[in-house]
Amino acid sequence: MALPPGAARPIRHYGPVNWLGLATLFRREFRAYLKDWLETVVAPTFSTLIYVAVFALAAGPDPVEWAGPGGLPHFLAPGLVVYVVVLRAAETTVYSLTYFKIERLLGDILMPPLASWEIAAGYALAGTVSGLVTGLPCLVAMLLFAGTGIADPALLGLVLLLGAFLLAAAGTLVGLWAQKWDQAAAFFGFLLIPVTFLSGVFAPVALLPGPLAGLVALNPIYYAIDAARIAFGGVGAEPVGRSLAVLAASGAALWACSAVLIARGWRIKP
Amino acid sequence: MPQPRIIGRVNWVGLWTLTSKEVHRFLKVATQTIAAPVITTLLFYAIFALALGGVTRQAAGVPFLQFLAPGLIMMAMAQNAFANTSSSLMIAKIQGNIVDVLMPPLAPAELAVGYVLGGIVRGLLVGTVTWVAIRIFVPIDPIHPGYVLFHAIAASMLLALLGAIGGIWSEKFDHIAAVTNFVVTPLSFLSGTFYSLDRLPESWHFVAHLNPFFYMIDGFRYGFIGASDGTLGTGILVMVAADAALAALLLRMLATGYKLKA
Repeated sequence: MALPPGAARPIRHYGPVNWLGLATLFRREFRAYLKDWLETVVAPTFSTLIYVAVFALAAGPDPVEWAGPGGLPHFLAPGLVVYVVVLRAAETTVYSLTYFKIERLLGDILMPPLASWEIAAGYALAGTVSGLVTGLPCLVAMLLFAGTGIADPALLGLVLLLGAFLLAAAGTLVGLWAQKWDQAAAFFGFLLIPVTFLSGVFAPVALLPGPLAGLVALNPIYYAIDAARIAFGGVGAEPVGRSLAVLAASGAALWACSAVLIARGWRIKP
Repeated sequence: MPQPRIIGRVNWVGLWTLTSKEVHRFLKVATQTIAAPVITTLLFYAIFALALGGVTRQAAGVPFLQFLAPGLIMMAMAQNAFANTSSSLMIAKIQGNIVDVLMPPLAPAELAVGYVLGGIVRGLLVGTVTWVAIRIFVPIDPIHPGYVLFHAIAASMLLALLGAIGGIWSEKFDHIAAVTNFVVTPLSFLSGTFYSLDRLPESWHFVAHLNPFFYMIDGFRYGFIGASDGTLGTGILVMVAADAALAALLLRMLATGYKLKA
C-alpha cells in the first residue's frame, strides 16, 4: 500500500510481549513441520512398531527376565514413546535453524521486532508441540499393538511435555552452533540417539556395565524414560518427583541459554 | 593444434572420473557417511547384546550374538549403498548440477556403472569397518569367504541400483525419504537380520521368502556361521536376477532421460 506523500506512517504499538510476532514464528515453524507429515508424523510411528516387532521376534518365546510381568512390548512402549517425542522436538528446531542458516534466510527471523527471548520461545514451543504431535500416533499404536495401558495419563502428559521442551531447547542450541549439515547430523548420530538408546529404551539401565550406568544418570532423558515407565504402570528406578524436577530444571536452563545466545547473536550475527 | 580425443568402445577416463567423484563425495563427509552408520550399527549390536545376550539364547544353532553380527553388517552395507546413489542423484537434481554429469560424453551404461560403483564402494567400506569393530568384541570370521564376498557385492549393488532408480524417480527430498522410511528400512529390518525364520509363524515363511533382502542376509550369514534358513542356490539366483532386472531398469531410465532430460 503506497502512502500519500507527507502522510505519517502508522505506528504499531507493542505491549511487553509481541504476541502477534511470537504466534507468527510459532505458526511458521509448526507448519514447516506439518508439511512433511509423512516423514515427521507417520514414519516415526512406523519405525517404532518395527522396533517392537523385531525385538519381540528376536527375543523369541523364552521369557525375558528383566522385562517384568507385561513382557517385552510392555517394557519397550514407554521408552519408545519418549524417544520419538524428544527426537522430533530436537529435529524440528535443529533442522529449521540449520536450514535457515545455510540458505541465509535467518535475517527473516532476526529482522522482525521480536525480542531474543521471543525468538527462543517461538522455536522452543514449535519444537515442543511437534514432538507431542508426533508422539500421539505412536502412543496410540503402542496401546493398540503392544497392549499396554496407561496408569497415570496426567503424569505421562507432563513427562512428555517437559521432555519435548527440554529437547526443543537443546535443539535450538545445537541449531545455533551448527554451521553445516554434517554438524547438525552429528548431534543426532553421535550424541542424542546413542545416549537415548542406552538410557533404558530397550533394556534396563541396571544391565549396563558400571561406568556407563553412572554416565546415563547424567542424561536428563533417562529420567523422562524412567518416569514415563512409571506412568505406564511399570516399575521405575528413580522417584517421580526428582525426575520431573531434573527435566524442568534442565529444560529451563537450556532454554535460558538459548535466549541469551540469540541476544548475543552467537554464530547468527556478524 | 589440439586434436579431438578419440574415445574407444568405453570412455575409461570419463568412467573413472565419475566413479572417483562419487567416492570422494562421501569420503569428504566420512564422519556422516562412514563413522555415523558404524556407530549406529554397533549401538544396535550393544543393545541387543545387553538385552538378549547371554549364552542360553540361540538362533539357527549358534549363540545369538554370533547370529546377529553378519545380519547387522549386511544391513549397514545395504542402507549405505542405497543412501549413496539416492542422495547423490537427488542433490544433483535439486541443485541443478546434474547437467555436469549428463553433458560429458558418457553413455547410459557408463553413467550407471559410475554411480553404482560409488554405492558399492561405500557399502563395502561401511561393512568392513563395522566387521572390524565388531570383531574386537566377538570373534566372528568368514568360514565361506566366497559367500561373504558374493553377497556383500551383490547386495551393495542391488541397493545402489535401487538408490539410483529412486533418486531419479524422486522429485523432492520427501519422495526419497519415503522410499527410505517405508521400503528400504522395513525390508531390511524385517528380513531376518535380528531373528531366525523359525521365529515366524509358519504362514509367514512364504512372505519372508518374497523379500530379496532375506536372501542376501541369509547367504551372507551362511558365509560367517555356516548355517542358513533358506536355499543357498536360490539365494544366489534371486540376487543375480534382481541385480539384472534393476540394472536393466536403470539403463532404460538413463537412456530415455526419464525425469533427467527435458
